[in-house]
Amino acid sequence: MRDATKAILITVAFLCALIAGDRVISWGLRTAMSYSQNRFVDLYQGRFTPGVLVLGNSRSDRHFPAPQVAEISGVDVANLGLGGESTMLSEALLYDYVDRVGKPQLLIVEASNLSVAPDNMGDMRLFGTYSERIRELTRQWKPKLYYTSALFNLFQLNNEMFFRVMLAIVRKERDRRHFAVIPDVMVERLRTEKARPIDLREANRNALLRILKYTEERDIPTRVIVTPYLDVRNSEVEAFTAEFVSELQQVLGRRKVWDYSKALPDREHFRDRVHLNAKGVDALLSKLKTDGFFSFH
Amino acid sequence: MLFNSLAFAVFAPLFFALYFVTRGRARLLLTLFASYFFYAWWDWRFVSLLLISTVVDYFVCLKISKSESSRQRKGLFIVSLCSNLGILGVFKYFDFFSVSLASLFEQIGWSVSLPTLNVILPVGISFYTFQTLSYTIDVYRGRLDAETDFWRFAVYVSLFPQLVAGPIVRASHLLPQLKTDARPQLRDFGVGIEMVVWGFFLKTCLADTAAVVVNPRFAVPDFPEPTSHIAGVLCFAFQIYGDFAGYSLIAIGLGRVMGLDLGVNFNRPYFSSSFSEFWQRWHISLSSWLRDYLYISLGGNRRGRARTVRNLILTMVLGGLWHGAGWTFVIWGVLHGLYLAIARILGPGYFAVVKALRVPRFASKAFLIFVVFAATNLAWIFFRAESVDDALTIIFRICEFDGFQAIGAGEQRIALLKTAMFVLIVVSVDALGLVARVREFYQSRLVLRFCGALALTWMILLQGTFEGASFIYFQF
Repeated sequence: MRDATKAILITVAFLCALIAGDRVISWGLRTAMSYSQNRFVDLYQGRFTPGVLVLGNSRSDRHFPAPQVAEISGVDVANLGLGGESTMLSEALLYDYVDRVGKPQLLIVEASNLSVAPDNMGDMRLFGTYSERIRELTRQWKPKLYYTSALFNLFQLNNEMFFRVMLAIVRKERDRRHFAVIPDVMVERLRTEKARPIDLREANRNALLRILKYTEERDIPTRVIVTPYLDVRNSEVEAFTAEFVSELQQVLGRRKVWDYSKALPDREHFRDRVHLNAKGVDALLSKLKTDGFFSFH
Repeated sequence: MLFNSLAFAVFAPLFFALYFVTRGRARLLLTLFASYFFYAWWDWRFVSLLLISTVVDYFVCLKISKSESSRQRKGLFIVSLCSNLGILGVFKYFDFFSVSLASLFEQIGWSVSLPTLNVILPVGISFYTFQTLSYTIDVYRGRLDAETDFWRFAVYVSLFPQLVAGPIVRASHLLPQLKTDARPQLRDFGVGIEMVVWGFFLKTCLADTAAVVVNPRFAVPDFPEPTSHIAGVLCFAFQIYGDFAGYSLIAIGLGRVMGLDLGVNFNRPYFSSSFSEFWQRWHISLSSWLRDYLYISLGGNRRGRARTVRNLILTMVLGGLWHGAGWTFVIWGVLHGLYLAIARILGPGYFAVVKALRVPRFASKAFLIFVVFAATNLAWIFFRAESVDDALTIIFRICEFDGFQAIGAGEQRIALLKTAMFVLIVVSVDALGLVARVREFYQSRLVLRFCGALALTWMILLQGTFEGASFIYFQF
């Protein structure tokens, strides 16, 4: 047999083995995923009971730790906040929660995810296997990723979330709160840094309005909240934050915005400008409890 | 065009399909056209520089080889040097020297405004300039006959796998291969694909994952957590290795598929137990270029210890400047020059002590590997930092180390964990490759190699980064 023919045969054999292995390995890994104690897997495996549902970006992820909120509210808590989660993604997660778990007793939406680019899927495309809605969002916003994943199934698992999910097979996800305090040098840097306006994206705004309509129709108590930002004495930053809250209030109309953006002025409560640390979370939850934020029964 | 881009995924199969069905002049012209297309994909305007370099060196060297007057030969040689180094100087170094000079004047009290060009650096300019320079020098020194076929010479200068980031292949090595018209062998095809897969693994898995840890640390040099900086520096050592060795392997592998041997550019550099060994294993095509055309030309080690030290430092400083026009690269070069000089001076004493104390050979070697690795990392800080101030800030932060702390945000922790996993894989494979029996066993089992390549490809699909991250060495 000529070398060229052999080369073609080897290439074809390689590609066939590659595709076959891709299917088998991705199937095996997906099966393993279902044993994970990751919160999103818990959602899609229907392991939650209807209780408090938290949606939003990293600020809701870090500011509403499930065990602490469960202790205050007395019900099961599903915190589905995730770094870079847009309101559109939150909307899909809400519907998936209702489908798989049932009507939540309280919905918390941390509204700063209105500023997240709507095409930001984070790593959630991993859960396209479980959710038609996630699959559709991926197809709509990330078509290249969607179709590549259809060709190579392993590619769908190629993200940080998969790593987290696999780690959570062997141990429950660790406390997701931050523990360090923002260093002085970072505060100093933020004080002089050029600020960017907080942009409420149109698609997210519409998604939030749909969420509110949906929860009103189903009589689900809903809290739209802006959790604290660190005041770094940068007038531009503060102005943009105030503008964001006021715009949000306009979007919500008569509905209440739980504005805690300036609730914690102490640097010791923050990990960085936009994230509280454990001490800050305790302080925030205590304030929220006093203010009746969790009174939904 | 990036190797890790969709454009290349379309370009490569098309090129190879045509390459395998053509022979002789048609294949040569196809390779030339593909190489220029590959380069023009990035920015077609800079194709002219490549063309100028090719035309000048081709005709100058033809003239040199025909001339019998040493004065004329020297004159022609200077024309080639000025043309190549002139282009490099204008596009790469003009602004650096202009700004440095203005700053120097400012320090002595003169306020001078010197012009800057603000032109973008043509990708790969340092690589193909050094490649053509080696050709001119070899022809001038009478070590190589000038190539008479213009198209063949043009392919030598522009061959797309190694055009933008090396390896820098000598004309005496590549031109004879371009003269043969043999069909690529099946064995070359297999070995080439294996290299390409391993190269992609190094780039998309190791380098691009390590970058997630590295970039935030070098972006905020005064970040007050020494542990994070230590992790950042260690990860950079593996990022740059994965990035550059990965690119080199892809280039060499593609060359191999074409039936061409482009040499070896990396050979387990972090296993080096001396600095001279490190430079025989790291970016071999550049370090051997600097040795042959600069260090030896300066006198090498033939004129006493002081001259040797001077030559080592000068060679490494120029090696640093080759990487980039900046003081950080100069310091990186000075450090490596000093390492080589100090090792030359203290080496015999160290081995005498080791012998006297009867330290086991493996312990002594492990200690030296650690020292070389640590010193290389110190130099990498300057190589990666945006400025000398940033590099010093990071070093001072690291010096404040007083115990391990948790590493930054969750994303970085995951990236660090993944980097550690990939480093373990790479180091294990490299270590196993050192054992001749294991290497021979693996190389003689086709099924094993087939499965190895498959496993790596699955790993790339599962863990590789596919965001079209550029290769670090493109900027040089």
